Amino acid sequence: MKENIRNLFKQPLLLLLVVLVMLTLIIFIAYPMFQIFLSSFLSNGEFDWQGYQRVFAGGQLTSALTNSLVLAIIVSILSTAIAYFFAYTFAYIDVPFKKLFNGIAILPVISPPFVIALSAILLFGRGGFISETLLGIENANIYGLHGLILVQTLTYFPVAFLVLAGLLRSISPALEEASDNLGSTKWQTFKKVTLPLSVPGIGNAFLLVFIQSMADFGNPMTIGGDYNTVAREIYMQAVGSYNMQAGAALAMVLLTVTVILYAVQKFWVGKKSYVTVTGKPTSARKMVSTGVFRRIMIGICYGLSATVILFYILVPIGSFIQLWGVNYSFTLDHYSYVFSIGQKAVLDTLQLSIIATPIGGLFAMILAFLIVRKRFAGKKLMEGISMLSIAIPGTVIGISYILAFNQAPLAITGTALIIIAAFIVRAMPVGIRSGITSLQQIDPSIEEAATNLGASGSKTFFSIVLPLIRPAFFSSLVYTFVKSMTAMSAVIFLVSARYNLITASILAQVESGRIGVASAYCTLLIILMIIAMLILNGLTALFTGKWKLGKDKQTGAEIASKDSVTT
Amino acid sequence: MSAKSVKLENVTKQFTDDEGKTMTAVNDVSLHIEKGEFATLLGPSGCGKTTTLRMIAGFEELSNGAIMFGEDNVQNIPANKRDCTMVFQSYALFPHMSVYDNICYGLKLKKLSKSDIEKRVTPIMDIMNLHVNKNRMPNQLSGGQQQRVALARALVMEPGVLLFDEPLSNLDAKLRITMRDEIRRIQKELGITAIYVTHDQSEAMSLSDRIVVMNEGRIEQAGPPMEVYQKPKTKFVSDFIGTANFLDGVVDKKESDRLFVKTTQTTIEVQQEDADKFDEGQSVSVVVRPEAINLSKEGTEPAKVVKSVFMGQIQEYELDFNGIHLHAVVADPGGKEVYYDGDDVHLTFSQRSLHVVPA
Ligand SMILES: Nc1ncnc2c1ncn2[C@@H]1O[C@H](COP(=O)(O)OP(=O)(O)OP(=O)(O)O)[C@@H](O)[C@H]1O
Ligand SMILES: [Mg+2]
Repeated sequence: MKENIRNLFKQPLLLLLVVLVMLTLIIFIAYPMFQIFLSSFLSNGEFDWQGYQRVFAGGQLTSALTNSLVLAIIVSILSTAIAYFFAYTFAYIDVPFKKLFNGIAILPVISPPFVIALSAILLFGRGGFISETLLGIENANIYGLHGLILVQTLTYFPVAFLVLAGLLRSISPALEEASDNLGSTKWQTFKKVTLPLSVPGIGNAFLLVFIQSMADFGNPMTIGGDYNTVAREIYMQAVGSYNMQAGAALAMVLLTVTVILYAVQKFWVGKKSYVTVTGKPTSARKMVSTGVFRRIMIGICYGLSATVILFYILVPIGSFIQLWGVNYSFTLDHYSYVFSIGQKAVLDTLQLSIIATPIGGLFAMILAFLIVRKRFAGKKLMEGISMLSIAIPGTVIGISYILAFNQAPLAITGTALIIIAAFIVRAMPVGIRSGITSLQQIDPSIEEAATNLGASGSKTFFSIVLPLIRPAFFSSLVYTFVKSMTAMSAVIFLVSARYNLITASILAQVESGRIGVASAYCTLLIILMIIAMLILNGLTALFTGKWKLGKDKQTGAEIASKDSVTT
Repeated sequence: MSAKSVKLENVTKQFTDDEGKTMTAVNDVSLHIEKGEFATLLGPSGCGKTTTLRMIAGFEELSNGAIMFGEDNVQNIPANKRDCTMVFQSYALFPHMSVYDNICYGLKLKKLSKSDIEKRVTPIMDIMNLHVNKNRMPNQLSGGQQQRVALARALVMEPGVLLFDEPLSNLDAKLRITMRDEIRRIQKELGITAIYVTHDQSEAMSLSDRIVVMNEGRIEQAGPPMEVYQKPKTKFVSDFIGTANFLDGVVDKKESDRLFVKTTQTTIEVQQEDADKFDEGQSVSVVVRPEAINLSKEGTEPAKVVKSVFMGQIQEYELDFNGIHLHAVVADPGGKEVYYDGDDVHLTFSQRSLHVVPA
C-alpha cells in the first residue's frame, strides 16, 4: 500500500492519469448514481418514502414494474430457445452459407434501436402489409404486449445466440463421442451430455436478454401502446409529469434489479461453467451433413433468418413509399424532409458522435490498461465503478444526469458535453472489456522491456500497448460510434433545442404517426454507420500490418458485437 | 560504456495480497557486485530471484533497504531512467516491430541520429549473426534467433549493468550451452557488470564469477563457483549445488583448521578453514560428495552395495552404510574395479573434499 502510493508519486504522469480517470468516473457515473439515490428519498428537500411508496403502492408505477418483468421473462425464454436452436444447428449441422448468418447476429448491435419496431408497424400495424393488405384485417393493433414480445425477441435473440454459439463450440466433441461410444442414441447424448453442459450458457443468455429487455426504452416507446414499462415510465415521470422523486425511486428499483442480475450472471452462472478452456483446439466436431433432421433444422433456420432480414429491409423500402398502407407510390419526400428540416438532428448527432468516438475509445483503453497493468491506491474503486457502469440501464443514466447536472457546481445540462459524456459512458463497458481481454493476453514484460529501454509511461502506452491492443481499440471505436449514433434511452433526457439527435427525431416522427420520415431517418442512420464502419475497418487493416495477434482477422464490428455480450 | 558496481543494502520486499496478508519475497538481502563482475542469483523456484532483479531494474518498489549503482542510490530513479537493461525470460520482443526496429527501440528514444544508431547496431548484429533477419518480425524467428534479438536489444544500449532473468530457459539443451558461452564471451569482452538469474546450477557454474545462492528470500551464501560447491556454508547450499550425502554427528574435537566429527558409525576427520566457528559438542553434518567416496575390498568402514548402475563415463552406486543411505559415483569404471548389487565393500572418504556444515 505504502509502496503503491510512493509508486504513484514517482510517476507524475501516471498519478495525473489516475486522478483524471478517477475524477471522470466519479463525476459521470458515481455522482449521478448518488444523486438518484438521494433524490429518491427527497420530496421538496425533506426525507420521505413517498417515491418508493408510489413504486410499490399498486398504481401506474407498480404496473410498469410488473409489466416489465412479465415482458422480460417471456422474451428471455423465447429468445434463449430460438438462440439455442440456432446455435445448436450451427455447431452440429453442416449449414450452407454459414458465414452469411454471422452477419445477422451482428445486426442488432449495429442497428438503431427501433428498426424492428418500425418494421413491425409496417407489417402488422393499422394498414400493415400483412395485417391489412394480405389478411384484410382492418384496425389491426400491433401496439402492446404481443408487439413488444415479437419485436424484442427478434432484437435480442442474436445476443443470446452469440453466447450460446461460443459455448457450444467450446464443448469438447470428445465428450459426446464418448457418450455415443458408450451406446447412447443421438437424442440421449443430447439430453444427457450436451444439454447439461450448456446449462450455464443458457442461464447466461437468459439473464443477458432479461436485463436488456428490462432496460429497453426504444421499443416500448415505439410499439408499447398501453403496455407501460419501467424505462418508459421513468421517462414519463421525469420529463412528462416532472415527478423526479418517483422517477428516481423507480430508476433505483430498475438499477437494483439489473445490478443483481449482472452479479448473478457474472459470479454465479459464470463460475458454474463446466467448459474447460485449454487453449489448444480440440479435434473438430463431425458435422451432420445428411438426413431429414438436418434439412428440417436448416429449413427452420433459413426461415427465421429470412424473417429477420425482412424486418431489416422493410424500413429502407418504407422510406421511399408515400403513405404505407394507403398509397404505395414511390417518393423522395421523406428524405427531402430529413435533409431540410431534419438536417440539424443528423448533423448534431454526427458531430457529437465523431467527438465522442476517439475520446471514448481511448478512455476505455486507458482504463483497461490501468486496471490490468498498474498498481495504485484506489484501483479497486476504479474497477468497481467501471464494472458498475455495465449494469446501468440507459434511462437510469438519463434521469441521473438530469438530477446531477442541472444545478451548480456542474450545470452542464443542455451542453454538448453532457451528451458526449452519456455517449461515452454508455459505450465504455464494451471497450473496457475488449481492452482487458486483449491486455490479459499480452505478456506484461513486453511493456517492461520498453520501460527498461528508456520509454516513459506515455511512450510505452502509445508505442507498445496501443498498437498491441489495436483490434480492441478499433472495436471500441466502432462500438462507441455505433452506440452514439443510435443512442436513445439515456440521451432522450438530455436533448435540447441546441442539440437534437436523430433518435429523438425518429421518436417524435413515430409518435406523430409519420412512419415514412422515421424510416428515412433510420435508413440514413444505417447508411452512415455502414460508411463509418467501412472506414474504421479500412483503418484497422491499414494499421495492422504484418503481425497478427489473436482475433484481429475479424472486423471491428464483429469483435464489438462479441464483446458486447459477456461470455 | 562505463560499467557500474551494484550494491544492495538490507533490501527487503514484501507483497500484500488481496486479503491483506503479507509475504516476504526478499528478506534483508545485502550484496555488493563489483564493476565488470558476472554474478548469478541461484535458488529454487519462488526464492525471490526475479523479485530481486526487478527491484534492481526499478519495476518493484523496495519495502526496505537501498540499491546503489556505483555511489548513487537509485531509489528515486524511475525504471526508464536507470542505467541497466534487462533480458527477459520470455524475451519480451515487440511483436509489431521488425528485428531491426526492436534493436533500435531504445536508441531511438535516446534521440540518436540515424547514422549513430546504424553505427551501434551493426556491430551488435554482427556478433549476434542477425543481419539476414533484419527485417523479419519476431514471430518469424526461431527461439534461438529471438533470444539473440533480445540480447542484442539489451546490449546495444551499452548499459552500466546488464540483467538477465533466466534468458535461456526456453531453449533446447544444446542451444543453451552455445548461448551461455556467447553471453559470457560478450560480457567479458565488453566488461559489463552482469546479474544473471537462473535455477540451473550448471549454467550458474559455467557463467559466473560469483554465485549467490538464495533460499526463501535470503542469501544463503555468495562466492565463486568452486567455493560454494566445495565449502558450502549451510546444508541447503550443499544440497542445492550438486548432490550431497550427509553424515550427521557432533563436533568431538576441534583444532585450528580441522574438525573431528563423531557420527554413529565412526569419527571423521575434516579439514576446515573456519573450524573456530564451531563449538565442541555442536550438532553438525559432514557433507560427502558422491565423488568423494572411494570403494575398495579392504578397509575399516564396511558398507553394502544396494544398487550399481553403469552410466558410461561413471559408475553410480547406492550404498547402505550402517543404515545410512549413500550415493556414490566413481569415474572411469573401465579402469577400476566395479562392484555389483549385494557386494560387500569398504569405504574411504577423500578427506580434502569433506566439509562440515551446521546441522
Ligand atoms: N507481484 C507479486 N505479488 C505477490 N507476490 C509475488 C509477486 N511477485 C512475486 N511474488 C511472490 O514472491 C516470491 C518470490 O517470487 P520470485 O518471482 O522472485 O521467485 P523466483 O525466485 O524468481 O522463482 P522462479 O525461479 O520460479 O522464477 C514468490 O513466492 C512469489 O509468489
Ligand atoms: Mg523468476
